[in-house]
Amino acid sequence: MSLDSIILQSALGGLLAYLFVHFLVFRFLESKAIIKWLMNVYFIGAVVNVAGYLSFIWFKTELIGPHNFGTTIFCGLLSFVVYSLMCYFYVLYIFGIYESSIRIRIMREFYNALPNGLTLEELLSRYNADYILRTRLERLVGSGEVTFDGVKYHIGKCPFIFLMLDYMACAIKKITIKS
Amino acid sequence: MLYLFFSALFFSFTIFTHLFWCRFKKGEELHITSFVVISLIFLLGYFATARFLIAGQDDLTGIWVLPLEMTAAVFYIFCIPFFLVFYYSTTIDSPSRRTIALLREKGTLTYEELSREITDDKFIMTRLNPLVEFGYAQFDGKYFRLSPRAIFSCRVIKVYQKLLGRPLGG
Repeated sequence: MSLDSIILQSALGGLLAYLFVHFLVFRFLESKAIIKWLMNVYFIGAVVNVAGYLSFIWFKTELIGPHNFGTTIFCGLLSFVVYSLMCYFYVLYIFGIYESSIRIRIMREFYNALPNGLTLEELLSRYNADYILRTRLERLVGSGEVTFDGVKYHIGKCPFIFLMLDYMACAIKKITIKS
Repeated sequence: MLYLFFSALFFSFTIFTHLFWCRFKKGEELHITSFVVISLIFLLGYFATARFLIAGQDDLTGIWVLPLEMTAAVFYIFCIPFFLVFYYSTTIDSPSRRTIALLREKGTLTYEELSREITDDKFIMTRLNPLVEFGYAQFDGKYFRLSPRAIFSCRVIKVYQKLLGRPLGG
């Protein structure tokens, strides 16, 4: 077994653990608990990832060398980064699309109406901006990014993901817009 | 380490090439396909470098020449969707992001004030029209219906929903 396959297999092991717990737990969660539990499940997967990596290394010491502590740490971190990228991919491109994509929800409403179609009014009576705002606020309050005092909504703890998205989007726009 | 270095270097080339490609293309639309094509070309570049340049470095030792060719390639491949999220967000506004932006701008807002900004026109119609435009839904003047390929996508999503056990998202 090569070092490459140890890193990738332990990352994959972490992802499988992540998916297992994710499918087990998420069926019982309300919208407001989703973001918090995405992080919890991510940490559970990370523990499996690190444990898997260390047990591989334990039995295959000759690949790194018995006393090369730095290399062991470096490859462990690498495995963790690959695991994180895999989770990121799953959350954003599979679960995120299912859970919060407006287009997918509209398509599902049309699908549920088959073999008939839906008029715009019928669609909006089933799914509309009010529903979108309520579920988003529920999630944001649940994750602490927004707080609610009973009357008004306030910005909560630093919404890092949204700030990073804004910053990166601005930078990309600046570069791609023609002078 | 060298493999990772070249993987990151080639991915940086991908980003810069694509950003400049967008700069000189007409229109404001997203150029996703071109990004994927450019990244695959540079991925080939990485593999060529890995095979012919790094693999022959016998004078380097230790962490620099750890045999991590595939790990670095996987790292590169997963960086593609990582970057695309930021690229999408230049044109697609999400309601959560909009809500956070409004709260950051105004400080505090009531539900009614927020609902004046999160409207059907801004968040439903802007998604519905492209569905028709790109052939996922058909509109006969009164009714919207799914096209066959969208029906297939919905079936796949329904299987995922059964596995996940969650209500409809959105």
